[in-house]
Amino acid sequence: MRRLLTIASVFSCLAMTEIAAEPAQKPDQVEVKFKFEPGRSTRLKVVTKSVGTMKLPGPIPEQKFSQTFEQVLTSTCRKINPDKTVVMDMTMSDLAMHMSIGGFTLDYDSKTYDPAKATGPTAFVGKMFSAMNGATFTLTLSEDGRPLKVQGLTESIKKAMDQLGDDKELAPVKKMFDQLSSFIGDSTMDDQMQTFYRMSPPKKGPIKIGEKWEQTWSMRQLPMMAGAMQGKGEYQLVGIEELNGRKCEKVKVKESFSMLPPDKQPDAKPMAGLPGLEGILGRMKMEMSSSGGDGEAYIDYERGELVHLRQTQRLTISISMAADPSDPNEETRRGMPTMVQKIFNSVRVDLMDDAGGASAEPAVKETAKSAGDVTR
Amino acid sequence: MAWLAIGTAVVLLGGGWAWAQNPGQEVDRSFRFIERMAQATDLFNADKPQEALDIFRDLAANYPDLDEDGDAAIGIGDCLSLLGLYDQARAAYQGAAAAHPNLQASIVERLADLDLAGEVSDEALARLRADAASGRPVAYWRLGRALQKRAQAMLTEAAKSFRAAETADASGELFPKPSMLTNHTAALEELGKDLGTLIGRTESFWSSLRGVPRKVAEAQAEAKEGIVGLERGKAEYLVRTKDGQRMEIQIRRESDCDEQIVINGKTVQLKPEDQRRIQQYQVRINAILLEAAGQSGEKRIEGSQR
Repeated sequence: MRRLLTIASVFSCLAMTEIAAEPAQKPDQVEVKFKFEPGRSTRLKVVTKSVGTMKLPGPIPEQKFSQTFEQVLTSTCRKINPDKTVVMDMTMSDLAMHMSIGGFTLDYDSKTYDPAKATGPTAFVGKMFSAMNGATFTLTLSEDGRPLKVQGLTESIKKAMDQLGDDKELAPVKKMFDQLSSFIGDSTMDDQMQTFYRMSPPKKGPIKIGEKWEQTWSMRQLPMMAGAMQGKGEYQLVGIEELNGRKCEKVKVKESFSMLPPDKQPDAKPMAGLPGLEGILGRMKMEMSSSGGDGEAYIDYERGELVHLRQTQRLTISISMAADPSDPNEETRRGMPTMVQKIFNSVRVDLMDDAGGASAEPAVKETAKSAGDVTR
Repeated sequence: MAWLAIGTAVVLLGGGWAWAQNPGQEVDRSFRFIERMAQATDLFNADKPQEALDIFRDLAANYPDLDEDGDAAIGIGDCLSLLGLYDQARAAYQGAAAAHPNLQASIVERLADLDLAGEVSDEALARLRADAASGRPVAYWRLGRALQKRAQAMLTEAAKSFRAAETADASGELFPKPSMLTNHTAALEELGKDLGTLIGRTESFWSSLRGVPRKVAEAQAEAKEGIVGLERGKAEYLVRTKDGQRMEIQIRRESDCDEQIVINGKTVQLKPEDQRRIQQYQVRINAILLEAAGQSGEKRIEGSQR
């Protein structure tokens, strides 16, 4: 889920489309222009790192947890429609993951994975990731860069799952994906595509250094969530700088999310109309909250492309499962007491060098006075 | 000039919060903290506690503001515990609890585990008994683990004492023939070994749940010591009961798990706990027979018994 959120946030930056002939930017203000070129491709490297603990039912102590996930998102502008909407073809590739929890370690790299040599959980995860490596989907944007539609991600993941064949180990995963496909894939990605769009001020025209804006948004509720959640973001233009040869607006970001209070929870429950999920998923309750959420983003204001993003976030996830005396499975009949996972998470996105294909350490050249020093 | 100074101060104070925020440096620090925590976590989980300890100490000292959840602070104690430095681990845990009150419950559990590390002291036993008075299953379970460790230690000491009684100079004392003690001492030593094997299995299971690779490997090795697997077996017994009845018992076993028992021509199904007990004794019988074969220079007998 976190990967999908990251993917969505990253390539929504490529969604800005309008070309406008405007006078040169004043040194203390900037207006983001959107520039699309059919056939032009860009690549973003996304690295997500998480550390924390997972508390399992007693008497087992917390397990120390670390995970690093990497991927490359290639975005190609396919066409600009007559109504000025833009169609982008997106591809996920170069998937790699390292995970360590307790005495269990898992490593996967799509570039070096050899199914013949993989054993145990690595084989299991390797099959899934290898099938998903290369997944494609389409993003349609409005002329002002607003994400309008995501298509094909659900189908792409489903095709990937189908490639796994009748593997018994993966059958439960396939079944769960089928049941949850209306909640993950296209529709969730569509929701998350708004993330980068929110980093642009809602008002049109130039914005000045120091100017702030806020956004709130509702988050799609997964079936096992205890309730609906809302996100809140605070943004500020803190500088205009050149980064990796691109003229960028530097935006300070602070985002968090939390459960809506009971009196604001929607009446409709996501489990309604989803037969087959009333089993274990229906008994599960998951709550999430976050804090921190600080970050900074560099956005090429001449093209509307994300050049660099770093953000950290603290997450607390608690999961419990109610007892069910009629459950035929003895292990799950008594339910599960609340397990709490605390994670400190970082996301880093870098626009890869179009020529070299490798991300370079950001080289910052200050072109206007910033509202804070940048240390590299 | 005074008004100019005041006005400048107001502008700086009012609009300067963004300058003071220095977002880049804050994000840099957070990224470094996460990167180093990941390194320390990987090292800890890979059973490299000394290297992990160095990083956890650095993080706790230099990034206390970012160690909100106390993971670095508690990691120091966990590493020291793995290194067998239990007193230092205890001090580290108590320090972590003082700095992070939210960790109190976790640290109480860890301190209880420290009580079970190494020899179980009288003080530790008293603490565990007091905790068990709460009625929590976990507390009873810990007390049980501690008492069985203490029992093993006492069995060992008892056997040593009897051995000493056998060999000590008895002149001037009216003492039973030392040879009378030999069988009893041997039985006591066997009991101690059996209990040690049982404890090894318990601790191996617990270590695997805790996810500690070295402890798992050690515990598994200890638990496996002396275990011999039965591949195939066949036995016949003619047993006469107290009231004169004769019972013809035939046992055929294809593996440790697949067994058929026929008594006077009728197949008998044993309860799981009885199967376990027979299996346990069979393991010992196999070990004794193999040891005898080794001592006598006979070829190794595999799985057969008469």
